[in-house]
Amino acid sequence: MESIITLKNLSKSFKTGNLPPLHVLADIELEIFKGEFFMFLGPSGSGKSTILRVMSGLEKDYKGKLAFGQGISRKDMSFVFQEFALLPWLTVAENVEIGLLARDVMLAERQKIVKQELELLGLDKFGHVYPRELSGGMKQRVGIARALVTNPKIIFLDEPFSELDSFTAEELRKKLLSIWQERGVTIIMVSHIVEEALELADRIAVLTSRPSRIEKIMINTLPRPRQKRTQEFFNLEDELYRVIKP
Amino acid sequence: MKIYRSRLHLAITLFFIVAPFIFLLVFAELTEVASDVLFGDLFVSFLRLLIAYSVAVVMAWILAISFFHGKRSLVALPMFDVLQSFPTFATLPLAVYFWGASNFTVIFFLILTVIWPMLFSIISSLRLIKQDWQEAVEISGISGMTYLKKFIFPISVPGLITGSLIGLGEGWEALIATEIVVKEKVGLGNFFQTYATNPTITFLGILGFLILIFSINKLIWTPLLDWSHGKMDD
Repeated sequence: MESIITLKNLSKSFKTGNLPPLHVLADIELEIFKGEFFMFLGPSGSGKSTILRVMSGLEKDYKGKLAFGQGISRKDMSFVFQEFALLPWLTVAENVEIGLLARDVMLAERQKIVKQELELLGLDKFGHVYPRELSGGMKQRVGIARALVTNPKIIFLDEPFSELDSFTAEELRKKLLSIWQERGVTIIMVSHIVEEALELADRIAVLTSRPSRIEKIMINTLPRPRQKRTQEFFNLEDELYRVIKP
Repeated sequence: MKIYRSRLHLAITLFFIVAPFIFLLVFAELTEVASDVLFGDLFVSFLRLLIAYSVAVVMAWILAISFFHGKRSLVALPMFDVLQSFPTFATLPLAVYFWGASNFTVIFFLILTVIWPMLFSIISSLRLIKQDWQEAVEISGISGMTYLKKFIFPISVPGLITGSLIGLGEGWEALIATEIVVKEKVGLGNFFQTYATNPTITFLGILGFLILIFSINKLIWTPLLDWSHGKMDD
C-alpha cells in the first residue's frame, strides 16, 4: 500500500507565559495509506485535533518528522471543521467557491464545479442564502462541499458531526462514506464516538490521555455497509472501550 | 431587496431627505441671508470634509490591515495611541503660517481629526477575526488581493462604518473650527464668523446643521451599521 502521510517521533507542546509547557503529543509514529479511511479516537483533551492540525499545516510548531507521499502538497488537502467555520458574509455558493479562487479556476468552471458539489450535498436550492439562514446539518453540508470542491487527495475532518443531532449526523455519515467510496480520497477524521469510528473507518488509532500516544491501532475489517446491530460490531465496540482510558 | 418596509417608512425617509433643505430655505428667508451664499458655504464645507474623509478612510484601512496583529501591532498600536492624543490644533497657526489660508490646510487638519477613530474602529473589527474563519481561509489557500477582498475587507466593514460615524462627527466640528481659524472666505466657518454677533442666526444655523447631520445619520450611517453587523451574524 502506498503511504500518503508519515509521522515520526512527532511531539507537540504548548507554552503559555511562564507556565510549564503543556505536552499534548508525545512520540507519535504513524503511517497513513492512500485511499484509506483513518480515524483518531480518544477522550476529550487527548490531542486528537492537534494531530489533525499538525498534519493539515494549521499547527506549524512541532517536533519530529511529518512527510507526505509523492506528489502530495498542501493544495491537495482540505479540512472540515467541527463548528463549520463558514464565512458569514459570503453566501453558501461563495463559501464553497473560495478554494477554487485560490487555484485561479475560471469563472464558468468555478460555477460548474460549485453547482455539482452543491447538488451532491443537496444544497442546490441554497446557493444564494447566507450561513445564518441554515440549520447545523445544512451548514456542515456546506463545510463538506467546500472541502470537496478542490478535488483534494486528503480530507481532514475534526469531529464533523458532534454539533449535529443524531439523525442528521447519521445521514451525513452515510453521505461521507459514499463520497469516500466514489472518489477514492483519503479521509483522516477525529471522533470521540466509538460507534461512529467503527461504522466509518478502516483503521482506528486509539489515543491515550495527555501527553497523547497511540495506545493501539485497530484494523476494522467489518464488511461494508456495516451493520451496527451485529455481534461482530458489538465485540469490536467492547474491545475499543477496553482500550480507551479517559 | 425590499428597502421600504411600509408607506410610513417611505414617508419618514422622504422627510429626512427634504427636512434639512426646507429648514435651510425657511431659515434663509427669515434671516434674510442669501440662500445661494448659505448653500454655497454648506457645499464647500461638505466637499472639504468629503475629500478629507476619502483620504482618511483609505489611509486608516491600509494602516489597520498592516498593523492590527502580530509583533508589528505591539509597536504600532501604542504609537498610534500617542499620535491620536497629539494636540494637532496647537500646530494649526504654524500650518497657516507655512501653507497659508488654503483648502489644503483645512483638509490636512480634517484628515488628522477623522483618521484616528476610523483607524481604531477598523483595528477592533479586525481583532475580532475568529480563529476558525482564519483557519478555513488558510486551508483554502487564498492570498493577495483575493484574501483582502473576500476576507479582510468584509471583516473591517463594521469598524469602518462605526469609525466613519465617529470620525465624521468629530470632523464637522473640526471643520468649522479650522475654517474659522484659517479664515477661509467660503464655508460654514465663514458663515458663523460673519454672523458672530447675531445670536438668532447663529443658533438657527446650528439647528439647521444638526438637522442635516441627523438626516445623514438616519439615511446613511444607521442603515449601513445595521447591515454590516447583520452580515457578521453566524
